[in-house]
Amino acid sequence: MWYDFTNAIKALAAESGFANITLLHLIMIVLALFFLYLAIAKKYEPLLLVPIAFGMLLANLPLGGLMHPELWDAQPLDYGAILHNGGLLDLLYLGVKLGIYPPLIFLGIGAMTDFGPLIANPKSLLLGAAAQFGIFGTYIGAMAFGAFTPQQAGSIAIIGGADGPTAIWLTSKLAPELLGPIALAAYSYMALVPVIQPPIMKALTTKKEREVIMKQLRPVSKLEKILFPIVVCVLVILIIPSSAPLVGMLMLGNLFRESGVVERLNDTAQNALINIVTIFLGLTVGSTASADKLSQPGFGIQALLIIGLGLVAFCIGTASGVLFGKLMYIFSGGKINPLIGSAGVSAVPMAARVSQKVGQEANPQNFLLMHAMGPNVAGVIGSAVAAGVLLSMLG
Amino acid sequence: MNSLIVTLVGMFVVFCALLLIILCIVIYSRLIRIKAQKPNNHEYSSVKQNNNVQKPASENNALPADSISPELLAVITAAVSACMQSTNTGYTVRSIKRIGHTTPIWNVAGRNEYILSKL
Repeated sequence: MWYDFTNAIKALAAESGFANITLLHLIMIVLALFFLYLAIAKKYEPLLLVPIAFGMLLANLPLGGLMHPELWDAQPLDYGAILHNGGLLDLLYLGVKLGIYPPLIFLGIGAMTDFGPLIANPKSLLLGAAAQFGIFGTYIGAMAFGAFTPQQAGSIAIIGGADGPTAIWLTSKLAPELLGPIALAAYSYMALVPVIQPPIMKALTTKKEREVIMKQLRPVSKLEKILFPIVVCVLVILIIPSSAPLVGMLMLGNLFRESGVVERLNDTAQNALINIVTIFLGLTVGSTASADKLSQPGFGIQALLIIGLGLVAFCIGTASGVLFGKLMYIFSGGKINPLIGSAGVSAVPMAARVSQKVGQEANPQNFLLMHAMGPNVAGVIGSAVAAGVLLSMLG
Repeated sequence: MNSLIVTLVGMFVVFCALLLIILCIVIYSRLIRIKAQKPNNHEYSSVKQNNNVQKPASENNALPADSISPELLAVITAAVSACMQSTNTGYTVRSIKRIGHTTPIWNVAGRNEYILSKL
């Protein structure tokens, strides 16, 4: 009797997670707890970092059976096996793999975004374009390291767009094996915008330039706002068809908002839908950062390089935006404050708030927020276009 | 593919796409504003004509269209007085001008944030 009892306990213990946990699992669990700390205590992008970190924690508790990385490593991918044998996170991960979640997040972003400042000052689109140099500049840098394939380099470079959903969308298409570290780097740097950008902005501008007070923007009519998503959608998709999922959904969300006739859909897109998709996206992206990945040779160095190159991309994007802003300052005869250029990296509305803050430090009478929102939302369109270009050329 | 080529083509395409959007925004915004101005001019001339016709009415002590009632004037003055936390009459309200709600929401948000940071 006693013998059977101890045998049963031993068998249970051998099947428990404690018996199967490895050092790599423990490292990943500590990392997940660290990200939870950053999200909860430091409030770094908590809406995304909490589900990402928790997904990471769940995927690294052995024998949980929620995520099976081996099913996703199979070549060619066997969707039947995933549906039959996959755990909860495997099934949710299908939304990332098939590129469903990021466009749905863009639908919500479109419904939340006011493109009025951009329509009032269309020139600010140029700043949104200039800031994309961070993406392409880093692509050269990543290729120069020789540690990445062109597809991986493109996925790392897109971190410079400072747009989480775009980074996830492109990485899931080009280099899904790097999804975990790229998503984490992208969202971490977005949260660190107020820390990373101001020193670059101040280093590249003079006090006189930072003090420039810009002219009040003209009011934009409702018809102009309604036409904008339709025009942009048609134009951009005709030029770069591969950007259709992101740009199409972004503009549909914006049409919901501006048309004023589908208030319920608008409300769902910018609240319930985006929140649900954010939970799924965060959980599944976090679950890709499993201990099995860490045990792959060279993955740790790759992850460190991704974090470093992501920061470089972000800094180049900010710098090129500010430098282009300086160019516009010169050509406009000192009417444009170059600080709004840094908002050209997406990160809406954080980057615009940073422009406002740095501008107000130089001149308390200065209100740059509205002017910076133009390049800021232009950056969203710009990074979606850049992602489409990279997918067309490298996919 | 050469990474420099990818970078050059990528930046070229991004700039071209966004320049095209700028062009379209400028064209349709101008067309809309031109169209919106035409009926306004028409309205303005008809209002002008109506003013000429209705001139005798304003002579009968009726309030002009852009003026405010004495009650509203009293309420605004009281609000200013309450806001300044003073009842003495060391100041005079000389004019009250209506400001349209044209301030963009981001400006209002930025201004509020700045005011709150100074409290």
